[in-house]
Amino acid sequence: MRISCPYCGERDRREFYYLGDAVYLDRPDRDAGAVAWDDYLHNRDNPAGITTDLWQHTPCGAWVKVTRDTTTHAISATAPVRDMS
Amino acid sequence: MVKLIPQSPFGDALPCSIDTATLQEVTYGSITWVAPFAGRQVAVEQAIGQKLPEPNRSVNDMLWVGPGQYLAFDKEITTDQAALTDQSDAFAILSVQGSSAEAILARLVPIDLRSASFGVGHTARTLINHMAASVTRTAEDAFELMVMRSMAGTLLEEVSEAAKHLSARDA
Amino acid sequence: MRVADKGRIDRGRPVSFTFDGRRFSGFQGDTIASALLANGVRTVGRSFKYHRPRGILTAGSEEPNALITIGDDPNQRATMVELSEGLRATSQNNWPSLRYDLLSVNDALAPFLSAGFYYKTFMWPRSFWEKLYEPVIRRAAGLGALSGASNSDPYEKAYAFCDLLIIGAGPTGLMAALSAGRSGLDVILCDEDFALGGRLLSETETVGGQAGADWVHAAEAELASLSNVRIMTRTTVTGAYDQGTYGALERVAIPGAPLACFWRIVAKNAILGAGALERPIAFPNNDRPGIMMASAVRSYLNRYGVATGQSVSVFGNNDGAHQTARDLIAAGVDVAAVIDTRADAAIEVDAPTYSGGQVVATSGRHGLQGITVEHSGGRRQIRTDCLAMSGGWNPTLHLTCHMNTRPQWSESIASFVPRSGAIPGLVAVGACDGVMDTAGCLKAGMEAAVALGASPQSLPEADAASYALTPFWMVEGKGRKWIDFQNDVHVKDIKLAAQENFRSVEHMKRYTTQGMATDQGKSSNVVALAVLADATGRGIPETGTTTFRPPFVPVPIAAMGAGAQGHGFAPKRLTTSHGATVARGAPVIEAGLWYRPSYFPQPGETTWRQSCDREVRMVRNAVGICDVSTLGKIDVQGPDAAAFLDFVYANTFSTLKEARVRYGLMLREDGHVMDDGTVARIGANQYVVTTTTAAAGQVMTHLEFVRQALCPAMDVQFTSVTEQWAQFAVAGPKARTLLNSLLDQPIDNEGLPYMGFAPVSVAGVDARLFRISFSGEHAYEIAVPARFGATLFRVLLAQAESMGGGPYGMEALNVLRIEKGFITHAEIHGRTTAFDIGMDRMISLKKDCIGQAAAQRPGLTGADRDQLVGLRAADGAIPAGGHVFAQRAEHIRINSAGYVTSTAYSPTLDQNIALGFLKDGRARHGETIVVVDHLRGIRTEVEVCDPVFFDPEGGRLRG
Repeated sequence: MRISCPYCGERDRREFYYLGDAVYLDRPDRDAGAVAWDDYLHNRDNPAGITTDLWQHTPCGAWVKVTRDTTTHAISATAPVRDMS
Repeated sequence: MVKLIPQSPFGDALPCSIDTATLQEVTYGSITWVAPFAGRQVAVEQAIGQKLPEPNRSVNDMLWVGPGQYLAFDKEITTDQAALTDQSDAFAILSVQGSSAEAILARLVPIDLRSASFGVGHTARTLINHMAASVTRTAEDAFELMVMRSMAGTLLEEVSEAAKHLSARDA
Repeated sequence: MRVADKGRIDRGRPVSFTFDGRRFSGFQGDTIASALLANGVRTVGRSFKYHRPRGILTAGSEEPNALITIGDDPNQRATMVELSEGLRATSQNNWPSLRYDLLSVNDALAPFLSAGFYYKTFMWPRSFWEKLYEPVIRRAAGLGALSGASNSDPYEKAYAFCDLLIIGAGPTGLMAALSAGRSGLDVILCDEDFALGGRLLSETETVGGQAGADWVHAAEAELASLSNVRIMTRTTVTGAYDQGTYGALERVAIPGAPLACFWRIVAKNAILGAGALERPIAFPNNDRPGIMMASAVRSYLNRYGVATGQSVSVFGNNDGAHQTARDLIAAGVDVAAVIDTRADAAIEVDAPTYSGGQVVATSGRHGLQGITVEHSGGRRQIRTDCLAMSGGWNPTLHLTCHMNTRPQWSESIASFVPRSGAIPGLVAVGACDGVMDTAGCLKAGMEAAVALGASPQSLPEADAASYALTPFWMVEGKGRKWIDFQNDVHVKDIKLAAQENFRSVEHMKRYTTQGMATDQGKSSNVVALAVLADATGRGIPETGTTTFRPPFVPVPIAAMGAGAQGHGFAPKRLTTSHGATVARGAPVIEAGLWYRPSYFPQPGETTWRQSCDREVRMVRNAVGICDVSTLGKIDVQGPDAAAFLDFVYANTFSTLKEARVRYGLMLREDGHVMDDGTVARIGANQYVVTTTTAAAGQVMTHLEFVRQALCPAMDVQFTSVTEQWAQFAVAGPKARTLLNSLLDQPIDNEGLPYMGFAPVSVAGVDARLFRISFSGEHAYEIAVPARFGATLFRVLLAQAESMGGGPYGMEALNVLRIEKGFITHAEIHGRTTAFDIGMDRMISLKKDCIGQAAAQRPGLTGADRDQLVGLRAADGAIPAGGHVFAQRAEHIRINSAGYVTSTAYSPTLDQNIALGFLKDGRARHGETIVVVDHLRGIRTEVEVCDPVFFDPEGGRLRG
């Protein structure tokens, strides 16, 4: 598997660390309540198809949002979570 | 009177040659990590009087080491527009030179090092086996490998083993 | 036996080798298989289950039978091993010898050993399975044995990149490579053979007006001259993976070099020109040594100059098989019969022919001696010692299945062909796509390259004979008709599977083990499917097919994991004091990737405890030195540095004064503790954060995530400075005295109070001094640039020793911190909250922070939680990992009230003490409970107490 780092270009999967669903980008307010926090922390879909998740290109440190298809393994988009260039 | 004596991360193992490859330590008096604060890229360039390298490039005495991060070698930098951190002792830097250099690294580094895609002045944040590293092509037949100082021994061991395996094929 | 003037072997270079201890001779350019056949050796092994004598079936990597041991390496395919001087080969799966295998009694018992036999027979009593049945079955059924010794042979792994990967260097691959190479594309051409050419090396046909093999040599010379083409022989592409990544196994075959190299090749595009494999026909006793694939008979004759028999017969269902007879006759080898299952076959061969014939029986105990042919003219016995069979060809499409696409059935060639698009970026062309003539393959190879940007080439003239066959799978009649030679599966097994309702191809496969051997059924799967289809009254397309998974050929794990054995498993991180540490005889232990000293033994000390106790007393009474460089150190800078730290730590750092240090507790977003450490403010907008050794990497990854993903508007920069500084703890009542003997400017309690920071200098070298303590003593950590670490450590030791102190290791460090109730990752192990360790009040509610919301969740606080406590024993050890029970509770899991995390003998208190977690523990100080370790058989009564055993007021820290 190869993933494009927005800064370094396409790299082997071994250079990446996997965190999980991109829902981690949408952190609730601290007073949002238990349901919102449970959804943020624990509740996940498991789609057969398109999913968006977060990977870190560990050698350069960039966190990357990766859109991919779990059935074909095709990666349709990668984007930095923050523009740091 | 106490005297502190500087020591190489590689001890006294370098320089050495394996077949056609020459391994040497690269030393700098100072290495400064430079990370411009938000929106201060241009201000930093004005302060240091030169352009910062593009991503994945090394220019003169500066090396790109990550998004918005650079290393300056033996270069006096004073600016409050960037985070500056002394990293003069943080790295073990090994130069691998020789006609077999690219083939040696092909046994350790999981990126495309063909000169058409990775020419002189190109640098990459990548892995050398299991070690996070900066790999820079300094000449058609030479690379500089930069890893954490504490991993100097492992770096030397792995490069040497790859070089020996390669050389055994020509025997 | 050798045939004069045939073959591409180098007759000027004889090579000697042994097989089962007997000396033989072959030539450079032979495989073990061709050399054994040249020497008249027909039986090379015993079969897996029935121990039947088996010979060489094929001339390629699909070989199911001829598995031999080379040196100590078992299960090598004789058809792939190049002959080299002194090579030592032995046969497998026979005892005591190849000729007299006692376990061939299995063959006599065959009626009782049908498919599913193990499942049905060895069911009762259950306990007999592991003790009796399995060991006996394993002994009886098997492949070659491993030596049991660790493998010291070198292997390699490597990476390669190209624009175009061409897999297979037969006519298709060579023409593709010539077209792409001449057009300047960046090409890697792989072939698993040691010579390029594929079938062209084994056939007598011409290409471009010259012998096929000569055309190959010319093409190879041209490709070798192109700098944009890389030729990799002996390299089998074993798997196709996501985003254009391919695995490939190169057999290096150079003495002194690694045995094999596992390549990871990344290609923008790939052309699969892997050719096709001939398939056998199932007929009674079709497994006798001497019965071979027709194409293999031609390979041995035309490429290796070996006649595989004195009187050869041919049995097939297609015109291609007839060529075998014509080649043999031209070479002067007797052909006893040509049998074609098709009644209308025109057999143009100068030998006895039998159209519409079938081989219904064979004879010869240790090798073929005769066959019985049935045809329109009746039954006929024919003396023959080699039978060349051909049931047609199967495209070598395995790689196209590696991403879970199944192939489709083609009626015209009665086999499966690949689906296009099965592997993104890969196109299968030529014989592996069902094109069965050389001219078609050359054209397909060129067109595939042109589609990728190569310019069109003129094609050499080549054989364009049409491939005509009538599907024929199996001869009816008495006797076992073998299909999967390696797993000993025959027609009846598959019919039995169908009869027992294992009708799905996946069920049949698992019930019979068809195709599950190391050859993955390369020659046998299609025949097996045809038999299953017939037995279930379906067509082959409806029956479906199992899929092929990587690797295409067996890959030694040693090659895949090359470089990762022993020390190669992970990088070693060594501190600057490592040399001095080892020189003092200190045993080192791994802490993450770091190596740290356990203790520093002194003359007369015979146990680690003696050293450890001494080192603890030394720190409490004088001064000790410990390398703490392994702790993570992060330099944090920027206008928003303080706000950032307030967000990632539970407590507050914006209020920390400059030149001061504060303990910090870092939570995970789910409310549990991630890490702890100290934070020093060394400037208005600059902090130095320390992490534990174990969590340094995790914390850095986390901080990057927070900065990039959660706080993109914050103007903060940070980088690890762990490697820049060599840092040493100087701990004990004499710490300041020691430091003042080295510092250029002395320090005092007012200038550098407890939890203070000061820039200092040592012998003119700028250093950092932190007054922090992990021992409970008056202590400092001094940091110098790493290049000076080794000498500073020696200087510190010399000074300490002159004051009754010295170095201390991890054991003493651990005892010192347990005495003080300081936690490590033994306590913050991922399931404990700030509440559990008594630090919930550190979570500042004046600001948001990571983990704050979740830490308030019901269930993460309260009396039901296991809480950090101290435990002290009047008598006896307190085992780490032991569970704690109320005094009269039965010692069963349900009654466990907590567990012990850290334990030590405290020389300071002369008592066994421990830290642990106890349900509602903070309310139970003074209670006597029981620690039980069922594994070690330990039961100790302990008193619950405050986790701070020593100097609870902290007077010594401030001294």
